[in-house]
Amino acid sequence: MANVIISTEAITKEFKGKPAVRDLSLEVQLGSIYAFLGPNGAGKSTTIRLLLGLLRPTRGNVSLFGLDLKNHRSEILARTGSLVETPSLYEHLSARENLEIPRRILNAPRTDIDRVLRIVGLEDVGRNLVKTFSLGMKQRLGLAHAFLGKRELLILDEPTNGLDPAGIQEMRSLIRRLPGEHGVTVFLSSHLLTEVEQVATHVGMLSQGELVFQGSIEELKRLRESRVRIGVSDLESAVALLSRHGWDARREDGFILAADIDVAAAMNRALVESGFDVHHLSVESDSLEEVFLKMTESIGQ
Amino acid sequence: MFIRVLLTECLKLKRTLALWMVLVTPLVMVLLQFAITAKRANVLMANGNDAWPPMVRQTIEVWTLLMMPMFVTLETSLLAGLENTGKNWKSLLALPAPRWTIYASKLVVTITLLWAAHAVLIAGTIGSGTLLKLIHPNLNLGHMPLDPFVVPMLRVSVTALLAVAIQHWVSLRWHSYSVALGFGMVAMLVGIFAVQSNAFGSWFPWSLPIRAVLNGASGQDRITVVAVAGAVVAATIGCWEFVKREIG
Repeated sequence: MANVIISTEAITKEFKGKPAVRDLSLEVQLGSIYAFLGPNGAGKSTTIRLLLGLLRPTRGNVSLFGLDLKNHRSEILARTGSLVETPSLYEHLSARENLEIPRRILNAPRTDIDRVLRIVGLEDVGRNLVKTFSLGMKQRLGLAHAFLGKRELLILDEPTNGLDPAGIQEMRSLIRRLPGEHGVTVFLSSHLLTEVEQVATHVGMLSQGELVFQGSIEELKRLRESRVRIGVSDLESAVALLSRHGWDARREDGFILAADIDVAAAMNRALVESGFDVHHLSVESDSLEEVFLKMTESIGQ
Repeated sequence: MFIRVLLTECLKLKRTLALWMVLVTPLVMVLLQFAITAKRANVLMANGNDAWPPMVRQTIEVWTLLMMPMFVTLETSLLAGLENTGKNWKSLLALPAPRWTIYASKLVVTITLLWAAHAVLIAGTIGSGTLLKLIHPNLNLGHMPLDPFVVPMLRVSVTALLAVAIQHWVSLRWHSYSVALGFGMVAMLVGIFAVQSNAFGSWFPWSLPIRAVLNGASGQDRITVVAVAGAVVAATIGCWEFVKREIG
């Protein structure tokens, strides 16, 4: 339990009687990059607001750093940096002035502003007004805001939203470095599995307010279904042959798909020995995106 | 923590219209009064009466009845707009400052801006009187005593607190400018009519400041007590609601 930095006990949040998240039990390990995934409207932002105390759960408890959020709000928030959706900034102030606001509240040293501006690569434009910044720069400044002080946990809501490909790459590499170089645990939400696949160590999947998967990225990869794709001259007869051997095979998109990958070689041999021309044979697996879609669809049904 | 939050609220004022209004709004009033007095200088010189008391009285009345309610409405809306327009509430309230400090510091800033505007109004009116003396040496402006100006303005400053506390809550409660502006304008208009009513005028928050300084108005101390006590209650209720509020 000492290694668990975020823990929610079956939290439910209802708006006008309708649940936005239901019986959500999250467990985020210290030093991990936990990606919280779900389609738009799944309840990700609601969960993040519950973790930051901006919303109160209808039922259940939220604990961060082993402390109950209800009773230790200030202590927890002093150790938690956040970026909720678009960065909240004062456009009429400079980047430094924007950081001065949380710095004063956190009672962090003035030099901290230089430190965080360096981390996000904005040290040269610190005195410029935020209204002159591009969206990518604002997003990085929002992240700098979250780094200020002695933050041990970062909660980031869709941190790459609105960034161009270069900005997304930068943000990814920055997030990847956080646990190792800065000792920070990251909890980030996204609706793009392909994106978080490259940075996350752990994943939680949310669908219609319910957690459908939680575990390491390796555990998630193990859930991928594999199949054999066979390209052959006479599909109809080939499927009949494979079925006679007791293998589960079907036609799809001009190929044969067989479920059992362990017998790929045996199927190939049987087909060739029976006079079929096999011009394609491959083993393919579900992408994580497909795994995710299957999970979320099963909840939808 | 309160002082730290208060300092951040002061920092947010940098380069804002809210800060400029502290100078501009009372100076508009001063200029208006200067122009009126200068235009009527010949009449005032002819009757030989001291021109300072009517100049001061008109300034106080127009400011208290019209300019100040508009100033309070605009200031509270602009200050709330700093958080509303950038959807800054979520990041501000995710900082480790008790929520009451945020509500209270914003209220203190509004009150300070109002009182600063009053100081500008007083200084500007004295400057305007001095300039009128130079332009029209025959205009009887006496020795321009400060008591008839400063004492009522102090009373206005204190009795305005109830309206400020209510308008502050309205501005922070609804994120749309139009709600706060509409509320403030309607309250100002009702206040203008309510001043005439002894039964209603002594209780309606937007009528209290002018009732507290009108010549002959009875119970000025009672009005001051009502305004201060009401302000404390309104600020406390507003703060309680703000602390409990969910940020969706």
